[in-house]
Amino acid sequence: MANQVEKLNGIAIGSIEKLNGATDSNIEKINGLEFTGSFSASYSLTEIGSSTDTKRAYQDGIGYGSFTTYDPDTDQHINVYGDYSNSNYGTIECVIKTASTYYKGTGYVYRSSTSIYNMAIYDATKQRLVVAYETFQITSPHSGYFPNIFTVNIGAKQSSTNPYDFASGDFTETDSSTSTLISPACQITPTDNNTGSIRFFQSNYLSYNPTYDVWLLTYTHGGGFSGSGGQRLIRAFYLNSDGSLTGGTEVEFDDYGSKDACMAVYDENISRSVLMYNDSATTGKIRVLKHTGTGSVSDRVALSLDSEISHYKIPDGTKGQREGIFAQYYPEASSIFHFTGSTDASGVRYFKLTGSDGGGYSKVGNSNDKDGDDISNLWYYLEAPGDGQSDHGGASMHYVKGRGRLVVLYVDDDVSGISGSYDAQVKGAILEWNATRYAANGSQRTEDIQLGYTGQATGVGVLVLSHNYLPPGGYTTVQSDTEFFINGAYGETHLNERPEGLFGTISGNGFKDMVMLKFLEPGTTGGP
Amino acid sequence: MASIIRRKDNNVVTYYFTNLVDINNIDLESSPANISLNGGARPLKVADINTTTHEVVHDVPAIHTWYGGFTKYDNTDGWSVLTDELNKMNSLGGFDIKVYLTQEDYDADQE
Repeated sequence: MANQVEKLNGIAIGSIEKLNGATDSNIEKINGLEFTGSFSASYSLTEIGSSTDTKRAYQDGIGYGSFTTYDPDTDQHINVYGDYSNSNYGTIECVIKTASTYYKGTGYVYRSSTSIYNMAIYDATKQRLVVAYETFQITSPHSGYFPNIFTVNIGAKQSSTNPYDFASGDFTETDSSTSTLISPACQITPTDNNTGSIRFFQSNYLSYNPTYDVWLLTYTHGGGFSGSGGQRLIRAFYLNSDGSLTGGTEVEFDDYGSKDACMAVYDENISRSVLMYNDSATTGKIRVLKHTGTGSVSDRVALSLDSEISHYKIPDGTKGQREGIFAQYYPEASSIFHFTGSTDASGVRYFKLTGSDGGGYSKVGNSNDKDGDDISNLWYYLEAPGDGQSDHGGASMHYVKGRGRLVVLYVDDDVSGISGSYDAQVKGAILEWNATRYAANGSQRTEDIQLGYTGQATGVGVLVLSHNYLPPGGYTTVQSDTEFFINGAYGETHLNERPEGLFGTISGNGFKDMVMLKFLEPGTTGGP
Repeated sequence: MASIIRRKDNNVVTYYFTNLVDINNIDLESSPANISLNGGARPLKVADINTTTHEVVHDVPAIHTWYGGFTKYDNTDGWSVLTDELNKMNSLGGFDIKVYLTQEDYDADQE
């Protein structure tokens, strides 16, 4: 993305802080010209403090289902997680990241029950955070995991080194004391005490659709609810000006009851959200989601489905299914990128859609050409554990707004170079869409799209997103960990542009710590 | 001995402490509830407990291993474990969380 705007009303662009109240990171175009504010950066991988700094251990407990978002209005990151040190209760806190360190606010428990697969995405337009989480609820006559959703206000920093601390009023409607929480967030109800749970797909169940300005929640169950058999369901929510949510009628889009692979991804190319899901143990589908319109809130949250399109199975996962983000829209490619594999992520594929609500939607090309294909040999050159390998610890992908690049992370639970009990690492690579290759009608190969590719799997182009740190408890040398849960890793990065570097956490299972990934600035130029 | 915060409607224990400084460190009157602990433990701000739904009980017998939401404490019958619910949560969430009321319970599970 280039900046084509030099002056606005005669004022140098660098002298303007906000335009109609919006900061640089929230403006993509001015009168049709691309605008990137003053941001310009090369790739860099930076340490905050040193690798021996205990401050890099983010929390004194694993953060199950952690997720990190960014609020450009107050310049704070917000982290949500199930706090291992407090019975995995759902917890939220603000974080200030500076060039040399970071500062955590006071943790705030939003749910005093086991809460896993927490997600938070900041709405920069309405200046409100949307949080969803899966929690174990003991209710009569049924107990199980249920989806929940709420919104919360994010206040200003107390100082440059003291983040905002939440108050109870942040979680209520702005004009009343009514909580914004919708619990459960689904409409189906259990039929008896033997009913199963309603589950989320890890870090992929909450997404935003800017065309209709709604939040989409996808969930699934294997039977026993008001609705026969298993169901995959989606429900839209509109964020009102008082912070409350208006939910539409949930819609079933498939009857496969497995918990794996069930998500919605917004596709800017067709201005619609695309459902991606497995409809059996071996097959996957995609389906475009349609809305009634934008004339009213009711129209925005009223959903219908286009026809099912055959696609590829999304890997259904190991490691307790605590992997990362499985699919991202890549604007420069006008395509959705996603992981492929049977059990574990072991490749990346992209596809492009075309069509209309009236005429229906379809994939462009034959899934083996410039508009849709596997990125050949990518997993080999990433040096990542393969499908079904015991040391595969999950994977996550993050399109980074304003950088035009996609960061792919994966966990190797047994790195030969440091082999031992504590020998797990998070690694990654940066992908950049090759427009020249596309113009020549070629598919994207690893040599076209991976920064740092040399033709040899020697580690060039593969980043070790170091999380070595000095754990509390008398350790004198830095440590790795036994394994990592990647969860949301860097969180959402495709919606809210970070001013400097990506911030996110992973959870180590040996030291039972949530650990900050090394800050990564994927830049717009340069390579690893 | 320990102090607990339990639900009024079903006696399910939501918080369990063995290291309280004094009763002023649990404040359910404030919104959010504030819980301060000694021993360097970080304080807790909790949104979903208050005097309408929860109550503080002091001087209850300490238990071996605690986990939130899966024990009950009744003033007459004492502690009990919600075994079915705990097993269900473990099987669905990929956890292996254990709750032991006594050392004997723990030892028996290790054999």
